[in-house]
Parts: sequence; C-alpha cells; structure tokens
Amino acid sequence: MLDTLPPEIIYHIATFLPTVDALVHLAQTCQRLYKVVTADDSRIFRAFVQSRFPSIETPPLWRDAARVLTSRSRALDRRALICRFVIPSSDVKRVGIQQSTRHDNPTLGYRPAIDSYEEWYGSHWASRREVLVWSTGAELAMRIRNPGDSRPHQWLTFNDLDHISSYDDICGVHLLRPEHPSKEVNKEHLIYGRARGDLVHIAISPQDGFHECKQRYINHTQVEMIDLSYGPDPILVTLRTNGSIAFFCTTTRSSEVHPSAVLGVDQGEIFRQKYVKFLSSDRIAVPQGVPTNSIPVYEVRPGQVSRIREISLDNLEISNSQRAVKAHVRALAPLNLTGQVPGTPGDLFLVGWGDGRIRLHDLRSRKPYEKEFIDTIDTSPTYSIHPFGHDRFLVGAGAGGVVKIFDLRMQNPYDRTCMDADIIPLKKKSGRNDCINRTFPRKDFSIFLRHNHPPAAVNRGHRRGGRLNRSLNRYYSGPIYSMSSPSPSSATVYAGVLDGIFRLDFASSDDLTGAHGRWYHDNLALDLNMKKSAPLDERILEISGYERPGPETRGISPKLMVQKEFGDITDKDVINEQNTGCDRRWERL
Amino acid sequence: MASKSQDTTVTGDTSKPEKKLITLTSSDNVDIEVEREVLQCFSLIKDMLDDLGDPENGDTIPIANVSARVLKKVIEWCTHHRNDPRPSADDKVEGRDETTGPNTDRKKIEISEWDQEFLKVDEQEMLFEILLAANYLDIKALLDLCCMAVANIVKACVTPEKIRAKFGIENDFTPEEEEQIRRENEWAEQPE
Repeated sequence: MLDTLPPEIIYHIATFLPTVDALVHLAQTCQRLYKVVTADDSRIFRAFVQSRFPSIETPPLWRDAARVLTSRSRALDRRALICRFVIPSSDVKRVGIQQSTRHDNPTLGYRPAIDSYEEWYGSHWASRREVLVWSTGAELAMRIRNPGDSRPHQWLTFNDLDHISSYDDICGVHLLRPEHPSKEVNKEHLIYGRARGDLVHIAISPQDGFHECKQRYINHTQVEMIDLSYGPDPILVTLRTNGSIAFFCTTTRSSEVHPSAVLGVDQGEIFRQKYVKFLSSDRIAVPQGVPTNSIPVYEVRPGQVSRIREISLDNLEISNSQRAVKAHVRALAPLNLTGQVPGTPGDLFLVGWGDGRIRLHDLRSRKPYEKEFIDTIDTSPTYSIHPFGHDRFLVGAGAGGVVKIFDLRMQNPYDRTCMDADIIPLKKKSGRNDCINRTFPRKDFSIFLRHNHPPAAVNRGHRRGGRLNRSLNRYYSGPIYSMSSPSPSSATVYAGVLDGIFRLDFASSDDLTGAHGRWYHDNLALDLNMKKSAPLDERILEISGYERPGPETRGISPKLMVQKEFGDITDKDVINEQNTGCDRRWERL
Repeated sequence: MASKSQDTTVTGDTSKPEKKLITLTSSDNVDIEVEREVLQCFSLIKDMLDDLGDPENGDTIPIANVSARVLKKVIEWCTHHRNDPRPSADDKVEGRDETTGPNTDRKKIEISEWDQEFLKVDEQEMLFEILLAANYLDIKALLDLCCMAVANIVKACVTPEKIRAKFGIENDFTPEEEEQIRRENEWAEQPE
C-alpha cells in the first residue's frame, strides 16, 4: 500500500525519515514512488530539509539543499575541513584614495572585523553571489565571487583617507543584505565604524570602482565596536569608548542621522561595558563589567530602549576569585534554534564568560544559564563565538590560534537526538547513510590556525604564484578575533586573525575525491587546487588539531592530529577513515 | 440497504457520571457508540458537531471511508489520548506552511510504550488503513504516529530491494531505468 498512498501522505512520511538515503531509496523502489519523490522539482526534499535542519534557511532548491546540508553535517562529524588563507589578488581594484600616508608605526597588526553574505539568483545551487568584506586596519578589503559562472573573483579595497593612523582603524563593518531598503542592485552597501568615531554608510559599485557616501551617523566619541541588526528596519548600534551606547536608524533617507536613543554612563542607566551584540532584530545584549558584572538585555523599539532582563554573574555559581576577570565578556552570539525549540528569536544566546566557559542562556528560563560548555585543555579567554550548522558552534580562543568546535547535541538540553532517541540512533544525525552499523565516539574538537598570515599581503596585494614566505613557517599564536559565514547553509567560515583571515571549508575528502566530486567542487564553490605547487592564495594548509577530552575525563592528554596533503593520502588513510570516522586527511601523531 | 449491526465500544470508567454518547456508522454499516469527549480528537467530526450541533436522538454519523475494524482501533487510540494537550499555535513552527511544509512540532516524535503496543498490528495493511483513517478524520497526532511508524520501517530497510520486499512493491523499472536512478541518487550513499 505504500506505493499507492496519496503524495501528501508520502511527503508527510518523508518528514520522519531521518536520513536522506532512506528518502532516495523510496524513489528507487518503483515508478510511482519515483514520480512522487521527483515531482515539483523534488519538492519532497523540502519536507526532509525542513524537518531535519529546521533552523537553517535555504533557497528553495530543496534537493541541492539536502545534499549540501547533509554533506556539511557529515564533514563536521568527520572533522573534515580545508584551511586556506584569503589573499587579495594582485589585480585588486582600489576604491577611494589610491595611496594613503601613515603617521604612526603600530606595533601590532590589524584585527579584522569580517562580514559576508551570499544570495542565489538562479535555479542551481551554484548560481549565487558571495560577498566578503573585512577590515585591514584603516582600509576595507572586499571580494565578490560568482561560483556559478567562470568570471574571476572581483577584488576591491576601499579607503577614503589621505592620512591614517591607528585612530582610523575600522573596528566594525557590516554589509547591507539585499533585503535592506537602501540596498541598490549592482552596488555593495557597507556600514563601517572607525575608532576615532566615524560611522558611515557607503555604496560601492564593483564594476567601475565608484563609491559614494550614503549616510553619516552623527557621533563625536571614539568607537569601540559596532553591530547592525537585521530584519525590516536594521538598527546600527555603537559602543563608544566613554561607555555609552548609541542607536541609529539605517533606513531613514537623511544623509545625516542622529542617534535615536543613547544609553549613557552618566545617566546611571549602564555601567562600564566592552561589548554589544544584537540577539535579534529588536533585542540587544550589553555585557557590563564592574560593579554590576552582568548582561542586561534590552528591547529596542523606535525611539525607546528598555531593559527586559539581566543575567548576573552572582547567579552563575562562579567562585569569588578573579570575579572581575570572569565577568569580562568578549564574545556573545545568538543561537538560532528555530523549529527545534519554541520561542522567539533572541531567546537563546551563547556567552563566552571570562572564566573560559561558554554558557547557553535562555531568556524564557528563570535559570541564570541552561548549559555550560567547558574546555579543560585550553582555558584562554573567548574572543569570538560563531554558531555553525544546525548543531555546532565555533569558538575563537584568545590565544594559540585555537578554534574550538563544540557540538550542541552532546550537552544541549534541546538535543534533538535525545528526543528522537527511540527512533534515531545517534549516528544518524548527519542525515546520511545507515548501511554501516558502526558508530563513532563523539568528541569535541579543537584546531590550530598556526600558520602566520603572509605579511602585508592585503595592503599591497599579492602576486599569484609567489613563493611561500618564510615567515609562514613560524607559528601564529594569537587570538581568533572574528568569524563569519556567508549564509546559514554555507560550508565556509572566515576566521579573522592578526593581520589576515583564514578560510575554513567543511567538506569531506571522500565527497570531494569520489565519483560525484565535481558536484561538490562546483556547488560548494571550493575553488580547490590540490596541487602541492599551488600558489599561496590557493594553497591548502595542513593544520593540526585534537579531540578534546570532556570534563569527565579531566587529566587525560589529548592526542595531536595533523592533516595530510591530498596528494599524500594512501589506502591506509582510507581504511583508517572507515575505522575511526575521522576524515582521511587526519593522521595521529 | 444492508441492515446495521450494533456494537458499543467501552470508552471510559463506568463509575464516573454518565457521559454523552454519539453513534458513528462505519463504512461496513456497523454502529459504534463513542463518548462525545473522545470525538474532540476527530477534527473532522468535531468541526461538524460544532457547526451543526449533536445529532438528534437515533441519528448516527456516517463515517463513509472507514471500516468498523479500523474505526474501533482509531477510537481506542483517541480514547487513550483524549486528555493529551491539543496542539496549539505555539507548537507550530513560525513561517512553515502547513499545507506544503512539515510541522516540526517536536512533541509528535515521542512514541510512548502504549503507542508502540498499539502499532503492533497483525497486518501491515491495518497500519495503512489506520493511517488513511487518521488522515480522513483529521486526527493529526495519530497520522503523525502512523507516518512515523512507516518511516521507521523504511529506514530499517537499508536498500530499495528490502523496501520493495517489506511493502510488497513491484519493481516496474527497466534495468536501464533502475541503473540510471541508482546513479542519480548515488550521492546519498556515502558511508557514515
């Protein structure tokens, strides 16, 4: 009777299929089920994608979406990632001032602020356009690529100042998304903030390098950081060095915009803080240091900002020693679990507290936090948090070039695995095959981005095919300042380190080198050059990492693993992959 | 017209005050009495009763597409679950279109022991008949349960051949078609 059921019921059954291979097996049974599964451009895959990856927004290319998301999930399970530098091409187009004069000699390099987005314009997953921007001191670097066609990447840099110093450093940059009312087609709109206080909205035409200032946000105080909300009426918020916070409307037509609201220290509304982050389009978290040691959350309405909740360090059961340090929050990120738990956007967020632990907070709960994520090996402060995929988040450590991958499923009270426990074995979470009855222990993982970024590569441009700079052999041991992914379904994470950014692509070696490798190369837009002689801007870096022992196994030393070059993979590595569930490029030392 | 047979389903604790009974007539012309409260699960019937009021004395509600054997199973399930919380708007995922997209209400994926026993029907056909009845009578939670049960069977069959064997599906592909479709879907077969 299965083959005679109405299509809508078969779609409904598909929502309960935990793995995509079960769905395609249905299609392979008979003509009728094949027609149902492939009808309406494989609409049934929508049921699968939305039930298995409910928090991930994708374009309505459902079959491709199922493939991309299951591939990424599987790569995360296998710790399969490809690491490269992002280096502007030598034919970068300079927008604005061609050569500025620096009036100081900073002892440290720049700390990149990063933003990226991608939009789809065609009927294939590869038909999309990805825009990446990051700050390189007083300049901005931008890359635009179109994976679906053969056009080369467009590279631009922007600076509008003749004379620069560290006060002109860009401390935050945001690309306006296509849905922003001010966004013009064929132009990239950016809002950036300079340390000395400039807050500007500019539009750049990538074709001709023309730029224009669209808006200035009136601010007379130095800026620590900025953030921009998304949604129908994006709001710019800036944290200023005097501790005050100013809000600006970005959708007004005025060329000069005054703050719509200010929270000031002198008004007794807030205390000293170092961070601001939108949790949703209308909620913002403002971590504060002494004396309150808390994270107030405000609701932001037109012309009105009101406190709705405060999470206090006093309730976190942290010992009294070094309280001031432990209260220092440098990283905070909203966690989107839409479809997995009820509630409204901004209810859940992750905070990197100063005691090195990440805590999941829930505004609906009376509890001060829901869960702790602890790294017993590396206790350096958290500099960045980046939710990635439907069940992971990445943490950028404050030292050692460490990126930590945390698995929400292992500890999360909202773990879908727990709810599905009676019907879905743990190993099925990647949504793939259930042919092999082998499960692998799930452990969190840390990687080291220890290659030094090529010096001054961004400011001067890079000559393709250049020799590996000797300094690359030195270890980078600094923080991971920032991370960005172009979309919720993207397999890519851009990670900002001192003086540059890395690109991490989560893709399994067997997907890339197998019979369907071309599909992944094209649709994940990996631009892979697996040759050892690849130029520096394309070269795949071999990184190291380790499985993090959990808090329950304190004292156990982690075993270091190192990635091999693609060309050095042997049959033994393939067998090892089958036995350990770890991507074939990883080799235990 | 075939003569009706009378069959009363025991639906509750008899020590409690008497509850209002409604009579349903199955497709094979069997009258089955059900507590009105239990019919709250049957969205189709509930809406009808809300609109038209309860049937007059002696009148029955015809359930044209469901046989007595299946209807009794459905009533048994609804009786057991009559006190379950009804799905509210909050349980549905914002932005998901119920007609085209799934409702990812997480409550539905919990299978109680009682439900597991309930689903242990002798014939596979019975499972599908309950599923179709739940669809017709608009009993969402029972429809979810049956679809989940079918999905679990599909999942347990790790090849198309085993799915065919399990559900008695005839392979009507030509060998060429079968090979082409296999290649089309090969991407989903990567090992865990």
